[in-house]
Amino acid sequence: MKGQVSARQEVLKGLWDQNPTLRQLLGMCPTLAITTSAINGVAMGLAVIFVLICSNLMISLVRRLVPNQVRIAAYIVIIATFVTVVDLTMKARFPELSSSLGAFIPLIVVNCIILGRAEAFASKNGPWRSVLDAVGMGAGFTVSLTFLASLREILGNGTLFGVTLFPAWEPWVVMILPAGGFLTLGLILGGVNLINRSHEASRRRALVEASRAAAGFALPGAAAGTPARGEA
Amino acid sequence: MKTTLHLIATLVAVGLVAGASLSLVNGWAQPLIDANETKVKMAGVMEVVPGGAASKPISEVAPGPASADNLEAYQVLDGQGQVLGWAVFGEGTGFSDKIRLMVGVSPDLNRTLGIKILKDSETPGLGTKIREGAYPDQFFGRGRPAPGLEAGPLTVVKGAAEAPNEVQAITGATISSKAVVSIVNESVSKLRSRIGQGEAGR
Repeated sequence: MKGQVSARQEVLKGLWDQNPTLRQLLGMCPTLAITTSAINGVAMGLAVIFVLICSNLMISLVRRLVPNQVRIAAYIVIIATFVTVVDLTMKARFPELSSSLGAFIPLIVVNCIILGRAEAFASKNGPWRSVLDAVGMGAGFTVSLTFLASLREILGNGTLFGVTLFPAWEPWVVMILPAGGFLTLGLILGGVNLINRSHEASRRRALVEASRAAAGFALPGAAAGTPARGEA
Repeated sequence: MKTTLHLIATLVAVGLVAGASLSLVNGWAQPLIDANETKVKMAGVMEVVPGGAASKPISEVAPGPASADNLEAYQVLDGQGQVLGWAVFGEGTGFSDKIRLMVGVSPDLNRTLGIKILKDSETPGLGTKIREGAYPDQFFGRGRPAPGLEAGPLTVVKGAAEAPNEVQAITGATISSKAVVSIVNESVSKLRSRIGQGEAGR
């Protein structure tokens, strides 16, 4: 796989195909807990992007120096260091944001997206690709969280980024409560699956047609592999 | 043996580098964090005693047995040096986590002048109504008969408050409402026992 994947794809995979929140369903805890207002989603996402880039870079740099048996311990210490840096910086510079995100900034340490990328990617790839991977995964997380949080803030509070959208709106408080988080996330996941399914279907159709054009009807579906099965 | 030493050395090295960089960051951040907390607190002091222009920590006004009661209070003065009241810091358990607040009390310690929630983790949309709106307004004396809320000890009631020491609970957030009132009661009684009612207006 290495070397065949372009730099662009390395970033883009995190946004859709392997989106950590919507496709891999990693890091659900902050996803549900802090997405009560759009600004929280953005702040959480930016904090995770920072930690992800730094830890992926650092881990891919030391990956040959750290013996296999203690790699998880070493990774966690590296991740925790960057998380603490973020936590202290936010407390010092953005105290209000930091108090609304509460314990969830320190808890980035145990966010499985970070350790997941360290194990699955940064420990096997070079620094440049690891950074690209972190940018993509972090962006995917941020976009998903901001989208989810915007929906919840609009419906549950009538505002977006603190700006009142519908003055006459009686907010659905449940959308801000945990139940609203689960409902919104479930609907978004369903929507993403629907889109993927219809993409998949149209991709199969295109493959079948390409194979017909290429091979005529002599070898139905052969060029397309299994997706074209049943077309004969 | 060699591998074991290698493992230990690796972890020690990682830990040392991490610790060293964190202590650097902390050295920069800690003063700023402390300054932020003080700023929030002092803004609260001015907010809960309307019209306040200056404040003195209680240790300068009525020094007591240090740290015996953990009292943190400020005497609030107006521009001419007249005592307007006291601002008392209080902390206690709310519905889900600690609530930290500042409450303003009149110079004779008999009325609340205002309240400011400094930090809470209450349920959004329900418990968070302790921060602003009709509930905290009661402590400012707004929306209730003239003398305001009598500071001692307060009780929480469901439905409209009638007696001068009754605080109307927030619908759906009785625990948060009670938590705030019990923190206020505790803080005010600490202040009372420190300065005594007689010399309160000093």
